[in-house]
Order: sequence, then C-alpha cells, then structure tokens
Amino acid sequence: MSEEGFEFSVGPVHPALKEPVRVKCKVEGEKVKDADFELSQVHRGIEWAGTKRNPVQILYLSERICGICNICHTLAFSRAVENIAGIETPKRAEYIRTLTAELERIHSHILWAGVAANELGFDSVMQYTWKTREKILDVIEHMTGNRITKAMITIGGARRDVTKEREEKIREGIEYYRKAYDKLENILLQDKTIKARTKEIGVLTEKEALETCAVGPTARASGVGKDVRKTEEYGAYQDLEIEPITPDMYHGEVNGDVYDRIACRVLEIKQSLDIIEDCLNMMPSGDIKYEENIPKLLSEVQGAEGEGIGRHEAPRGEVIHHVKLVGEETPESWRVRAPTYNNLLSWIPMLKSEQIADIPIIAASIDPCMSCANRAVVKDGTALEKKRLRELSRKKTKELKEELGDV
Amino acid sequence: MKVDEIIEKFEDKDGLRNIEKRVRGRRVWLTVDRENFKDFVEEVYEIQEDAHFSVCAGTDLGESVELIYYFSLNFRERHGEIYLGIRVILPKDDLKIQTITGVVKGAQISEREIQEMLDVEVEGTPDVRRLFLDEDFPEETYPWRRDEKGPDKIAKDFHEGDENE
Repeated sequence: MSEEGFEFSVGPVHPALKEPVRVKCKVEGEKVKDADFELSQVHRGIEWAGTKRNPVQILYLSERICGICNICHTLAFSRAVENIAGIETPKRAEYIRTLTAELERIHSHILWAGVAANELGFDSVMQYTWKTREKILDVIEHMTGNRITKAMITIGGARRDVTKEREEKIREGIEYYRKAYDKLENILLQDKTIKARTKEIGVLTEKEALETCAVGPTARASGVGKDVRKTEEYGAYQDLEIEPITPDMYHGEVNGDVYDRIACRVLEIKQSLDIIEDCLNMMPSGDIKYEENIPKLLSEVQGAEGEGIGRHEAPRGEVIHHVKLVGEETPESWRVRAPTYNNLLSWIPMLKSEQIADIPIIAASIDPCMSCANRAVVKDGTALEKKRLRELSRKKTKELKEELGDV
Repeated sequence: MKVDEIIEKFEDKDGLRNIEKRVRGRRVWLTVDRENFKDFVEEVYEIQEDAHFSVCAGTDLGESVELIYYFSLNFRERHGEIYLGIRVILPKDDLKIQTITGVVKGAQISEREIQEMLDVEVEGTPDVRRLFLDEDFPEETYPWRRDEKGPDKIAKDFHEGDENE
C-alpha cells in the first residue's frame, strides 16, 4: 500500500452490486477519498439498430431497453414521434398510458426497496418487499397480459383498454397497497437499523445535484423539485395537480442522504396509488388509438419530417428520446437518454468521505440501471460473436449431459 | 418566462443561424456557429443560473456531424418548462468543439460519449477516457458514425456462421 492509500473496486460483477458497473474508489483505511466509475459492460447497439428500422418496429425495440421500466421508453419514443407528426392521442388513451406508467412506478420502487434492503444486509425486508411486489405484477399481468414487458403503448394511443373487469382488478390492487403501505413505510423509514445505516450517509447537496444534472428521486431527495409530470402537459398528469415529492414532505427537512432517497420513493408509491385512483375515477370514454390501421399510421409517421423530443418521468427520473424523421422509412437519428445516465456523476460526491462498507447502499441509492444507461454496440472478436456463443452453449449442454446422464 | 421571451434573449447574439420553435411542448432549437457555441450555453445559464443540462444528441449527417445540446429551463414551474436545443454542425474534416464543463459540470458524460461515439474532439474537456465502450472495442470505430468509421462491419461479422445452419 502506498502512502496515498490504495484503489478498491466494486464490480463489474460483484455480489454487492446488482448491475454490471465498476465503482472504483481510492481509499485510505476504510475511508473513501475519491471515486470513479466504469461502464461499458452491456453496450448493445440499440440506437444503431433502431435507425435501421421503422418507427413502429422501434417501439418494440425501445420496450427492450430496460426490463424494469419499459413503459417509460415506449412512451417517450411515442411522444417524440407524435410531436413531429402532430398526432393527437385520444384522451382515454392518455389516461390509460398514465395509469400503466404509475403501476410501473410502484413495481419499480418496491423492487428497489428490496434491493436496497439486501445491500444493507437486511434480507428479511427484501423478502417482505418482494412478496408485496407480487400483487402489482399480478395487476400488471391482468391489465397488459405480461408481468414485465407490457407492450401497452403505441404511437398515438394505448393498445389495451381498461375494461370493467380490469378496473376491478386494479382497484383491488390499490386496496391491497393502501393496507400494505403503512407497514412498508414503517419498515423502510422507521426501522432503527435502516436509519442507522442510511441517515447522513451518501449525502448529495442541492448544489451538487444541480451541478451534476441529477434527475428523478436522486435530485428530489436533495431538494431539487424537478418532475416532468408537473412541468409538461401530457397524459392524465396535465389534469392532476402533481407535486414533486421531496423528503421534507415526510420529516420536514432535506438532507440529501440515502434515507431521504428512500423516503422519496416510499412517498412516491403513495402518490402513484392516488394517481391511479384518479385516473380510474376520471377516465374519459372514447377511442384508445389515433389510428387502428398500422400501415396507415406508419405511412403518416414516415411522411413526417422534423425533430421531436419525447419525455416522461420514469421511476428513476426523466427519460428523453430525441427522434429525427426525414420523410423516409427509418429515422435519421434516435437518441435515448435514460435517468441513470445523468445520475452517475452524483456518485462521486456521495461516495467521498464515506466508509467502504457503505459503497453498495450508496451506489444502489440512485437506483442505477445499467441496461438503460449503456444501451448500445456489437463487439467484434470472440466474446459476443454468435458462433462462439453457440459453441459455448453446446459445450455446456454436453458437459451437463455427461454429469447428469442423458435424461 | 415564456418561449418568446427566451428567444428574445438569443435573437441578437452573434453566430445565430436559425431559430425553430414548436409551441406544443414548448420546444426551441437554435442553430449556432461553432465559434459562438459556448456564448450561447453561457447565456442559458445567465437566464437561469441552475438550468438543467439534459444530453447531447449526435448524428452523422454524411458530410458533417450534428450535435444538439439540450437544456431545460423553468423546470420548477407547473406546465412552464421550456426545452431548448442548441445545434452545432461540425464539418467531418474538422470535428472539434469546445467543452462546456466549465459552465455545467454534468456535461462531462455527454462529452465523453460524443468523443467515443462520433470521434468529435472536445477541446478542454477534463476526461478523454472511454465511458460506454469497452477498452478492447476496436480503435477507430465509432458506433454513431455512418461512414467507413462506423460499426457496420462489426455488425456484419456478428452474424457470420449463420450460413452453416
């Protein structure tokens, strides 16, 4: 060990980090003196592949950028295209979109709460939160046909209506979470161990959050009241008085620590329940699609020219899709900006002066999603080549057969 | 602050080539000369000290590379946020742009990205290391480029071996 201490890496594959990213810390003893990060583990070339496809095909591709928050990408992409082509989405579809996006937020925040508990070594909380999360997945499955990949958004509308039966199921889900909420809040925000491990840990001041351009609960927990649902007129949000959730709403102050980030997300679960209920109560009647006929829709979109920006407040923060259409089959440009992309830099001030043992929970506190942040590229050589993957897969099957007998 | 008031602030600035606005969604695009690009970014932060920098979108246009830096203003105002894009066109034989990290620290990620994805040299940027690309990703290949420096060759190789199926 040199006089300046040594470098300590967490990741890219590490039991304490569920995402493929390397967090590199310069440490002196147990104390972190400086931090840096390396991405580049899951770059898949999605934007590149998108510019070789038409806008309707991109919709399916964008859904696969992220497994957890897939509504946000399809919604942001659709909004960008609608913005260029001047497509008006029917009011009922806007409500269905909002409702599904909020179901997704509940699922994502509860999932994150479990991950955070796991990072703290509090596995009973992880098991409890994930058990609680099952109900929302049931509701999503009932509503969309799938637990995770929802395929609810189309350009100019929503793909499935809220039928009477589905509404009942959603209301049942809301009821379940209203009952579970107090316990969830009590465990995540009142537990002594969680308080001890998260209060005054991984602090991001308001100034730092603004400097590093943080978004979503990461920024709001530091007092930056930025929320696209408040500032843009879209979905059902424009008819509702959405207020960005900041931690002072819970305990009267803003500290910008890990605890505040938990508080923001827990409160947002409650906010989402209210939004879903409002959507159901205020749901207008009418069509759910601007155009039923896909070839007709496609020809209208492909004839459009110009630049469009589609934005949505995803569970982790603002998602932006920049699309440029030039009146051809495929877009000239498609750029995806996921929230983790903007939240990465905030790790550095959060980690400085903290203990090594707190690295996992601090890293997890921004709710990082590497598949969103990395998105894009195909690598040459052997690692990702299809042929090589097939060889390895066959080799493994053969080995398993030898080990287990030919079953 | 309204869209027109924002536009007024930029109208008389040197280096402004074009203004495009879309009332729906309050979007504004300014096309500016590379030499004056940084002045425009500084003006954004004169208008609002804590303006939010979102991202830089880059596109290979064939003869040139287009960069659009997106900023968000009025982000605390209900239904009042203005989304501003500052567009710069760089000729392919001189892909250089000034860093804006002195004005907004958070631009670092985007600057590292356009360097590795488009081969744009960001003059004065504090970090020139790769970020999204793996260190063994081939040199001189830039994923967002559509010319000979682009990734098409790699993508083609990705499917080799399918013929034997």
